[in-house]
Amino acid sequence: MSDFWQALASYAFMQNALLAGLLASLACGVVGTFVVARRISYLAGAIAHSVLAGLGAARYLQVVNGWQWADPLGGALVAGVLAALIMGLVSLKAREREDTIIGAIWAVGMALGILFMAATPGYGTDLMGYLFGNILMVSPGDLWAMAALDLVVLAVGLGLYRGLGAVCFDEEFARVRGLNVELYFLLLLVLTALTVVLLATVVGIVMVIALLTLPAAIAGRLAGRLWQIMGLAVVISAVFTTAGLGLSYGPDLPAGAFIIVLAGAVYILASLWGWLRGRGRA
Amino acid sequence: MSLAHLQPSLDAPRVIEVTGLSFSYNGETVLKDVEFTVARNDFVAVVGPNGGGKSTLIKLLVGLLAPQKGQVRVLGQSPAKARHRLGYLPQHPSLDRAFPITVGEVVLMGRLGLGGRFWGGRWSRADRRVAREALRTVGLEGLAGRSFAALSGGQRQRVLLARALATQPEILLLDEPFAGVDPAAEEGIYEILDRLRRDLTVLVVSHDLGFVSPLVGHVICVNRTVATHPTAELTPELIRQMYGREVRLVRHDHKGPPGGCACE
Repeated sequence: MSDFWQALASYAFMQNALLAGLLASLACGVVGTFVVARRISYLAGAIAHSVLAGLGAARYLQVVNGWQWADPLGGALVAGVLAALIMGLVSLKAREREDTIIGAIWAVGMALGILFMAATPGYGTDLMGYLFGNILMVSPGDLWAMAALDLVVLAVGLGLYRGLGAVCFDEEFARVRGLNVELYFLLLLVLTALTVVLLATVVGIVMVIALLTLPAAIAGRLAGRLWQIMGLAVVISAVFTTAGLGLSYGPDLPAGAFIIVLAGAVYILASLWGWLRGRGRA
Repeated sequence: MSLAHLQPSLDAPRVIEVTGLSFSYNGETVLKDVEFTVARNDFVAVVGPNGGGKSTLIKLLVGLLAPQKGQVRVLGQSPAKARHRLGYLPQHPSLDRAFPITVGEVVLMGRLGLGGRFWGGRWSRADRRVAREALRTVGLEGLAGRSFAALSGGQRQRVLLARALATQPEILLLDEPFAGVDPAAEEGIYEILDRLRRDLTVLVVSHDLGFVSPLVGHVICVNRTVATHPTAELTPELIRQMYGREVRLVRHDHKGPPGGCACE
């Protein structure tokens, strides 16, 4: 750990990494809580994986066609939002086939990304970074982009807290109250897509789903109100990303994977503790 | 004993008007040529066999379903336009019981959509006062801070009734409000409805009419078609007879004659 503090003090890339983790935690806590409460982790997983198509396409256009403006982060955003809208509409219109279609988009998005990367010279390192995260490679430009995404996600997520919460809790009643339930649902999925892109910078798209849901799930055991869970989830997520970064630095392990293992371990312990406490009461 | 005082006067304004209404699910007719009206401040029991179309009728009244034929007017408007003036308690709430929410927050959901306030996190003082009063009406004012997931079935039902009341509705539509509720809690809900009926029009879908009978102004029998029975025109003996048969019918889960009414 002491290596980590030294590195943090002397290297800009460590400071950037720490900041990236904290920025990602903000959106993660707020949107993750909605995702867990509405039970759409699986949809979020599909959005995450289809992001690879956008990353791959943008990278391909940059390298092969020389389109410098085709930023991978922008490509990820376009693909994520597109996947969110397609799956949202599928989920609303064809409930009985929802899981099949989610599975299809999940895999096809990924396959497209891999094809684009295979066609792009020097794709190897990129692919690993996108899939498993490259928090130590975060640039100041990335940080600004992350901060902007955070701002959008927090403004919409907290600004429409009441409507989003109502739609997550009881769709039918929200509809009778005159809420445009479909619009809110699509909005929640778009917010999820933005958050997934944010988090993918930290832990990569394969593991995003754990960082999105586990802090909210752990917080859900400690608090009983949506906004309390959000606050707690932000803190828990910040602790995970910071601790994962610090603990993985010394032994030179991948930070993203370390963060996820940490989150998973704490979640399992919290569940076990809850179960034991429940048994003790009974 | 005269029941005439329960009967809204004939010229009372009609708050619900249904004409020529038909509805089918996947080609199977659930409701056919339904016609009825409900007067302001009436207390209406909606009865009929399972699968007879009671819930479908209620969903059409609150605008969750659209009529395929005919017309539904609620408070002189289409249900979609009028629904912010309706309090609705669904039979199978679509809500997630394990959702992280307190009792007070559930009741506050009833304030949604009034004046278009969907944004923001904090509820106004007026909204919170209405929610508190609704919770007091159902006798659960002490539970506002309690987790909704930790409640018993009867308490949960009363909280959802409070949520419907918090909308300050002109018409209260309760679909099987006693499902999964123990007899004591059921009695409590009836007492609440008895107090409310002075200010509201109430429609209750229910199987058990033995207890509801003293409150009811009209009985609407739904079994594909709809027949309305004004209880005031009947003697108490006849009412007892009718309810007795109805309760028996439901308990044995008899199907009424096709197109007929179970309680005729």
